[in-house]
Amino acid sequence: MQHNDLMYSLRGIGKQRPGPEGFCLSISALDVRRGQLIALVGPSGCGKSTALDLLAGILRPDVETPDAVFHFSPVPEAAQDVLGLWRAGHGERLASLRLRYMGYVLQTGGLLPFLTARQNMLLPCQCAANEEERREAVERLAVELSVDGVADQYPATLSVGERQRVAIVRALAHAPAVVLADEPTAALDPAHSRRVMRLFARLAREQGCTVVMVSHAPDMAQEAGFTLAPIRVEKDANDERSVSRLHFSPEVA
Amino acid sequence: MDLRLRAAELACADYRRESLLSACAVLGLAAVLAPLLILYGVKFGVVETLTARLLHNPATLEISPVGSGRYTADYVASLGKHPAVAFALPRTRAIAATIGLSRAETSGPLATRIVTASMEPTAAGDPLLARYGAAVPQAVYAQTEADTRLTESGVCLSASTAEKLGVGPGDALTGIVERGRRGAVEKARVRLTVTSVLPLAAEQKDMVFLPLPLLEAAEDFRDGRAASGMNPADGWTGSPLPDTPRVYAGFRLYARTLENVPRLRDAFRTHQVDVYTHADEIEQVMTLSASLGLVFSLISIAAAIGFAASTASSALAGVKRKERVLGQLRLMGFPMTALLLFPLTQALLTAVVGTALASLLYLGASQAINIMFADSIGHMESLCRLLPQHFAVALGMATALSLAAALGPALRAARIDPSEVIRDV
Repeated sequence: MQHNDLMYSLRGIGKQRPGPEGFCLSISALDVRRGQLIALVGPSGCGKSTALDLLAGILRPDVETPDAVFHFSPVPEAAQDVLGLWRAGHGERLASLRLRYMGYVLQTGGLLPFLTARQNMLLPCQCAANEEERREAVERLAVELSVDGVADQYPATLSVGERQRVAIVRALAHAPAVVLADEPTAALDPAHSRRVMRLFARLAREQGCTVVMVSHAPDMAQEAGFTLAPIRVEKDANDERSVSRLHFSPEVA
Repeated sequence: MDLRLRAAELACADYRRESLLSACAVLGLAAVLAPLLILYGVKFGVVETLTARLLHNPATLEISPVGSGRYTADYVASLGKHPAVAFALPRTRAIAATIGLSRAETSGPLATRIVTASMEPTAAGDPLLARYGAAVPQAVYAQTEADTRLTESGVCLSASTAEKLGVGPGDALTGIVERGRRGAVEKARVRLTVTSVLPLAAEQKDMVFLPLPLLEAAEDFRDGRAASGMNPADGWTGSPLPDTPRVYAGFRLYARTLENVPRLRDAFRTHQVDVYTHADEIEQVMTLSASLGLVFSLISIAAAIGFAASTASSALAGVKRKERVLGQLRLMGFPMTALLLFPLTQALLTAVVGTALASLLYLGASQAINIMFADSIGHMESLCRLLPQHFAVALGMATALSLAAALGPALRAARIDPSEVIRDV
């Protein structure tokens, strides 16, 4: 497999979270192909959201091995060395990568309360300066997710389901290279959840967008077309601390 | 569009959306600022009114020596060059400075009437004449090489002098100076033309303002001497003048500003020159102004501290309350400077709208105050008054203080770690 085909390529990356509920996430390998839909699954508290935040570049990773790798390649020719950016203190560079190339869907409450649904959906396009070319696409996404009728309402007056669907439109709005989603449909009832996840997967695929999603429902994710990347929790023999291990590299497996 | 501008725009949208809380912040500022504006307006208005009343009368700035002294022309000239002095001119002995005036024509009911008036020296730049727009009289000299004598002169009359003579500007007069010599009354004459007439408000007594050489001539004549530069044919005869430089009995002096009057009085006092001044009245106003200024400063400092503390705490509460929103903006990829601008923009909005509201409240209150006290102040005066630059200063101070107070919370906003705030706990 060509290296250029990988959106994310991680080796020997981890994250320690201190405190009584602290845990240790260890990513020995994670390769996400361009256009692939990945679902991070595992027991609750295993560090799925932590993994997502590492991929988003909002959490500084710990390096576990001397030859640790953290490459993010939103454009095939230009791999970004995320570890290097962290080491050099280029937090603003990471922010601008998020702005241009990433969408993020939170479990709940991911919308700005002082903007209408439409303003929320268009905000990433305005920030990425592609509002003109994306306006029609965003309208289509809103129609597909049935939130075009509530576009002029503020989030406070929307149902939970409507809010999550608006959040999905927003995450896809500026045609990002990758969408990171943290249990985007967990707040919805199962039937609704299943339908929205299918839509999400289809729309992402239509845009050629890579998705890394955290999910607590592996069957639903698989059914929607996501490849499962399981995080396994192992008890440390010595101090009884648990270690969450993620190893997902299809060509190695 | 620049992301910092976009963040400021979002801050405005949030400010509008939270209109109730924003209104509270605006009212909080207006509640502090409006009383300060009113207080300062009253201080400024009262002091301005009193100062204007003092300045309305040029005599307030006048400084004149008590009794007669011996001052040389050089000394008075050096006084005139002092930066605190607007105008200084030597004055001859008061007893020698009277002149009889009559109309130049020989017929008519007022032809024979002689009015005796006191002479005061004047010259270009005389503040009294300038205050009332009266033209400064000039002496006219013969224009031949052999003869440079004073042939005639302009004169500025006080209202009462002009009224008694029945003359106005442009009319011709004869000035007559008398002396008793060897048991006989001798008269010297000079041709005069009325240059200007001062209104009654400027001078109530029978006075004439003349160029200094005429006063010197009158003094010499009364001393039994032949005044230099005057025509003996008009009666200006007598013994020759001594070689010693002339000494003057007094001087007319005007300070440049009100503040200079007490300073000049003190300076004269240290040189053992007793002077009449209006320094006491001026000092009363200055003391009142200083005291009111001090009271205002103390109140302002207390209010500023309180306002800064309340702004800082409400900004901090705002950042805490909105940390999830701010975290989302950071997650979207907004730079730290944009997050810094979010609370600062809202503090700026509060400062601008709050100052505008305070200014409106002030305008209402000042109208009410000026109407209530309309009886005790003049038509053009106002008891409560602010200039446009005062509002500009108030806006500047409120803005600077708001931004300074919100800076700490804003830095906190800029450092928000999205991974800690974007999820419900």
